[in-house]
Amino acid sequence: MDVGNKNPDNAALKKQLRVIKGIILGLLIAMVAIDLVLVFSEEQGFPTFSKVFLDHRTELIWVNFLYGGVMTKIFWYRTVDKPRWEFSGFLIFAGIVVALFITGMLLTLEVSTPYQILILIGGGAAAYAIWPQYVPTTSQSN
Amino acid sequence: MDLSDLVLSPSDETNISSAASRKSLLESYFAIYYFTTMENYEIVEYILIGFAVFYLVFEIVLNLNDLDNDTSNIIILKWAQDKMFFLPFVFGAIGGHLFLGTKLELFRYFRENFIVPVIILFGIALIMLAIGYLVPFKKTKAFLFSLLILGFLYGHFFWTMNIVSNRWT
Repeated sequence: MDVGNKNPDNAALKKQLRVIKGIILGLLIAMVAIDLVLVFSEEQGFPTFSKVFLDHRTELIWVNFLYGGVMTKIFWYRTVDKPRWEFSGFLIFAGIVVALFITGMLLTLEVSTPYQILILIGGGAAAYAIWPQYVPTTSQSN
Repeated sequence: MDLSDLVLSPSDETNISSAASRKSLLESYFAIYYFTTMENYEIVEYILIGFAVFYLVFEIVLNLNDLDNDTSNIIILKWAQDKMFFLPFVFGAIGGHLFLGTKLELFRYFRENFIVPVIILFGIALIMLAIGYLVPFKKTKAFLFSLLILGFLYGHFFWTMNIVSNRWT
């Protein structure tokens, strides 16, 4: 017996979750597919995503920091049971990202790889320390 | 070379004129090409910005909706803990590729043949996916994080593009 069919709310939530998963998967596949198209369109003057990042590494130090933070939040997470702790942490983390965005725009020298590594690790450490993952104590089924 | 080579003949003048016209055409061609290149460059930048804005808005919606545990980070973690444990490795490799990179002579081959590390990465991801489907095992936090670090090392050393960008030369 399918419990989902007897409970319309549960079925609707499951359907909603399937759509969300589909969108995330679609987004990842679309990025890879577009980059592949760009690789074969370089002769027409289209840069690949990698080339855009290479040319703008200094301005994009905030993306590096954010990437380190998000990767840590996904794979080396620290959980809390109150949503406001995650939200306040998110605001502080977002504040650092904005500060790095402004710094990156003002810098006139290239930020070299050792500093990029520090920024990446800094993003990870900051996310772990101040941006925990909220997990409700009564978790819904996925 | 004799003296006659240094004296302009009428045909030479025609040639000079056509050469100038060719030069002018060439310049305008490059101007158009440059303009087109800039436009194409901007198109790709806008695509990236579009992805970023979409992701941001989508993530905010996921945080505000009625469903718990549906943010992208939780969904990606659950996929990684299930069968797709190649995800942390691939995310690490992408990060290492985009933000890091080495100029070590040892890895020159991979720098110059950029398609090779992409094919190897694709192969590693496929093998991991096959293992994920065929051999069920518990993927701990330490295991997934180690794969992420290994991915960063792969992106840094093998899928490297740390050549100096034209902007800084």
